[in-house]
Amino acid sequence: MIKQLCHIGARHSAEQTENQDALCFGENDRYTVISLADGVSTCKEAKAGAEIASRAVTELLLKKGDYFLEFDRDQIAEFIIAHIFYELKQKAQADLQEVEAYSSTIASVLFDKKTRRLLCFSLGDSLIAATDSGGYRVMIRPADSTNGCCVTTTEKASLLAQVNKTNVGTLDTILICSDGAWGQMYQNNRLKPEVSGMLTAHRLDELREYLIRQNGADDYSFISMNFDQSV
Amino acid sequence: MRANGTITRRMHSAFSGLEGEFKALYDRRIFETRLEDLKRVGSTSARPSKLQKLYDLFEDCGISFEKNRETEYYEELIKKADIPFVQDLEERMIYAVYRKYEQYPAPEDYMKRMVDRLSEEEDHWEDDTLRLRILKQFIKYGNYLKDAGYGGKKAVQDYVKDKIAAAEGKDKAKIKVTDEDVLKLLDDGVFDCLLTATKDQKKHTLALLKIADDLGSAKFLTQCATKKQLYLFAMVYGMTYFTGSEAELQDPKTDIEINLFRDYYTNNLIRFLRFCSESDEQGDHERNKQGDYERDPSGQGINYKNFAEIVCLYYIVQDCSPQEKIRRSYEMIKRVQQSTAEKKFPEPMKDESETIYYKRYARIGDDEAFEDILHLPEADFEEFICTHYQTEKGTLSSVWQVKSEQKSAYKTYEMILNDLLDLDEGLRKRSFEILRRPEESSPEDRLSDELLDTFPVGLWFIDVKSDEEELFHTLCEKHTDVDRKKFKELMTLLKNMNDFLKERVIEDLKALCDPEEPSVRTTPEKISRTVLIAAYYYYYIVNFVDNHDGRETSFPELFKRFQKDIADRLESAYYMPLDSRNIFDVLIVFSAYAYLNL
Repeated sequence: MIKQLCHIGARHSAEQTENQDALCFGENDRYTVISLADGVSTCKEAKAGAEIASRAVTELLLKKGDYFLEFDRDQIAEFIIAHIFYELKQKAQADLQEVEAYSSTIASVLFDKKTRRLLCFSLGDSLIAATDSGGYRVMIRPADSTNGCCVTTTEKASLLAQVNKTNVGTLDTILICSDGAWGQMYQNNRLKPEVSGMLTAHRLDELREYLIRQNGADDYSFISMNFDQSV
Repeated sequence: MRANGTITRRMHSAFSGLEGEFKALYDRRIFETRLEDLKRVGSTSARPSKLQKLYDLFEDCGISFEKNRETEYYEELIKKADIPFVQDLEERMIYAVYRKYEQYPAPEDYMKRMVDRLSEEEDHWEDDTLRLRILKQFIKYGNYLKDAGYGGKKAVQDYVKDKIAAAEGKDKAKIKVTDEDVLKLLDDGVFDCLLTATKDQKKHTLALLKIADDLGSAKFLTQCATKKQLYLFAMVYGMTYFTGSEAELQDPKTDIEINLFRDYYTNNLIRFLRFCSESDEQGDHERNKQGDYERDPSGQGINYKNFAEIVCLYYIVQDCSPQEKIRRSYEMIKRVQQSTAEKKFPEPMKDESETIYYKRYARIGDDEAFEDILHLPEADFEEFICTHYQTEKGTLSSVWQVKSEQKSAYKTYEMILNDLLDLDEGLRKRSFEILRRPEESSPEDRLSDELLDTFPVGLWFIDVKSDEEELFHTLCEKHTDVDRKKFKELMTLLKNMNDFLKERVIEDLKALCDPEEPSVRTTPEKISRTVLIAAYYYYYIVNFVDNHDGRETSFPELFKRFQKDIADRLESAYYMPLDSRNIFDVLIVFSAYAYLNL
């Protein structure tokens, strides 16, 4: 089962601009893929860029899941980034724009229902985390964005992408959060107790309500997948 | 996502340090060498790899080219392209360093950025001076640091009372002020008293003002005093410590290790290199003569062997107010010392364990034998400290100095020096012979001739480009944006760095070459990240010259290789990795590059 939230932040709302996060979900007989892209605010076509990136990576992983689950870290990163960049460039050329106008972060999870293997990929400051029998663990930490972080149009971005391949094992749910969302869920490096309760009890509808109540400045989004109910 | 500083393709590459600036700095010889290689292999199977090397050069320099063309095509392309000769390249390199240096923030700017980031918006102190903002933070969130034993509340309140008395014509003795009044009326004039204060006053009755002043100008104090200050700063600004738990996130914006023990060091290192041989406007040099400030910031991160630091980390991790964190940590430090004096617990084993052993207690790893002490209940944690850490201060002047020697770093340093001498069997002997020449000749004379054949004496920029005035004029002819003051500042930094290399590493090598008593002068107490990198710099050049032809290496390639090769050594010494944002690191590697390529 997929749950999601994609909400405009208070700042964009006040500025009457659009929500620049984009979510994507795809499934076939073998694989389930979820993706989240967070457009760079100052980029003119950030929303379109985020949509293209999340759709491109979802389609690629669904189509070539078997390859990606066999690839090593560098191959995964290089293929995904090159594919997204190609798609962005096509769009930029068609619209007579610079490709940088379409910059976004990108994070994605591929689940192989047959072998119950999992591939997590992230470029930028999104968080990928999972819950298992009452516990919570971080699968991919957000990149440091204090001095700027890498996005889909950064040169040599694949070098800074993060990849985590693992077996599902005892994990039951995995979720990708944009920085606007996890920023509201954490305090002093740790999950806020109320958020921790929601996650470990799989009360993701409550998490959705909680984030909306917090109404953070930045756009806030998450997309989650429950492994047992994803078929 | 917020756009601040996000790296898009146009703004920067993924590696946004100085190496990017030097990316295209190849001279014509490198092109010619690669062309020769291509001609030599003819149409054999080695051709594609030689071609690729040439393509890389064209790409790095932004020269348009077609792939898989005949050799003559590339020869013609190189002839026509605007590729600099060696002399031009030297100037371009200095100019690139100058441009980067110009943008490099001063330590106080760095501190300001951190304070801006960590301040509560509701306080609205952004128009105050930096030291005043820090002082107000200590007052509001740290209760004047009274619980940490800092005096100064009276001086601050008296200053505000004087201000009210003068403005309203009231009798000062009858004026009562609240913290709210203090925060509202305090201005930078409160620091004036420091100018005439005695050392004793600064230590006691004006200690609060002194700490705000020191932190506001981002200076490293000796005898681990800065460590104590940094932990207090971290607590009042709500900084965080990452324990390594798999449920935790490390917040780079508030992380104490990243912000205070890495970047703070980097910025102070530049200060040291800028003023270590001449006076600056604030009289740092004069004050440094009195031994107030560290000469060469050690670069030591969190000292996991020091119990006081671990106690502070414990409370930084706990969920309580900054004031509570300060009060409870200082109370625990006192109780632990008391327990030690009263011998309440069996003495911890006199162990010589290295930092890694203690680090595992505070940064949870895979080793289950180590307890996650930062998440223990308070009483259990205290007992653990009493039974596992050396808490006896002995003759040291503060608890922050306990176990402050850097054995791991020292060991690594010694190993590098020995590796360097082992590279060339004759080097140890020859070096000693050169170095023991009569004192009447200058150190450079003694070192130059033979030793220079084997490795350089200092920094390439100074060895090669010693005429500052000539260089300045050459640069001014080509660029209109070279500021004389800034350029002079950079040249001072380079000269100081050059002196530093000679003084510390060469002196230690000299001592090590003495067959009668081989020992280095740098001690575990004096070792620093800078010295370690400097030693490795010599090792790298000699090793590289022995094993490779450095002329085919681009700066980014060399930087990455140097970074990779030194990584283990820095890690085993508990120093931060080589960082392209650190101007010292970049200049060192760049100097190696220049020696190997020019």
